Amino acid sequence: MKRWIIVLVIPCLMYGGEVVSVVGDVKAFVGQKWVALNKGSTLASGTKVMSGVKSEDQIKSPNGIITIKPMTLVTYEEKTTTEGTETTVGLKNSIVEVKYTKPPKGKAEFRVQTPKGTASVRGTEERVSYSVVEGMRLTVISGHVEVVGRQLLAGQELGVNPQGNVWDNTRRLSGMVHLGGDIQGEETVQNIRDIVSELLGEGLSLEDIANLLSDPQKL
Amino acid sequence: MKGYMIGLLIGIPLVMWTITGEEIATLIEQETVTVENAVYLVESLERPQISRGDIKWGKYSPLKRDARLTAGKLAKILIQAGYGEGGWMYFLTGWERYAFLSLREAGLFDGSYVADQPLSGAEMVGVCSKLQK
Repeated sequence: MKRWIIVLVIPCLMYGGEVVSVVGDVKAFVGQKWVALNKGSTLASGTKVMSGVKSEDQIKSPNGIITIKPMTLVTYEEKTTTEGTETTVGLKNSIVEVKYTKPPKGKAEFRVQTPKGTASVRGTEERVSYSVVEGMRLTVISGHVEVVGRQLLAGQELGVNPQGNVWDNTRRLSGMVHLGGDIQGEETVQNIRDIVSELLGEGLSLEDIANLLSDPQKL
Repeated sequence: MKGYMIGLLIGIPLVMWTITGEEIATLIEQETVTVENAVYLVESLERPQISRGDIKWGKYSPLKRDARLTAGKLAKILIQAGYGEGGWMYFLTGWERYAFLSLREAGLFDGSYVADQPLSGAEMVGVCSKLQK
């Protein structure tokens, strides 16, 4: 029985991130105490990281780079299975910036979790802030992001205030999608794909575009 | 020798008091915080190496250092530290209420807050981290 348990657990081994740069005072909670992080330090899954005033660091994970801005408290989690890698950044205060890098093989999931919502990072660069006084705010720097059931594109923002109300600035995208009305019936899917790709400046998959256009609530 | 020992005992805590990420993480977890916690954090925003001994507390009078922090008190501390304009009513009265209204207008506090609302450590750090962006 024990042997079977070991066999089942091996594919779910927990790995960690690597600190690639540190400015100022950045600490990790390891072994019931806070220890200073330096370039080259590794973080086990589930480690809390706190950056001080005017301090910043970058963590490299298999799915991308996480930049931890000043006065930010996060929990870094990483899980590798036979199917791929899941990276989750639990943000408790201030700001993180994440840049996704597609791994050479396997599935990759990259999430930023706050008490007010979770953003799934997909081929993108984004900035997420959270505080109990402001709630959550997400800004897409490039690519697209799915957050609280909505799709956001570069330059767009979405937030959830402390009362739980969702706001966004996605009018610009809605306007762009209305241009789709100009396409005549005989236009092929490829034409639509080209037009949407050009508008969005991204090589989105058909599935992504269909997902964007099928549900106005996501825009 | 005795003098060195006394100097060392006084000196060590002063050096240790320089704010760290660890201290901020501890503040985030606290349900209640004091005026002293807020002044120390606000003063550290521009000078992270500052110790409590270097702070000119008179600048924040008549706030009591051990008083529980409220939104109004934090607003007054921020204005006294130079992080916002208090407006002419604050200039005339020096009341926390007007300090708070000015900073709420500036977007530092959410509309759901009121001046005499006690703040938790997470709320205090949340407001101060907006100033670091």
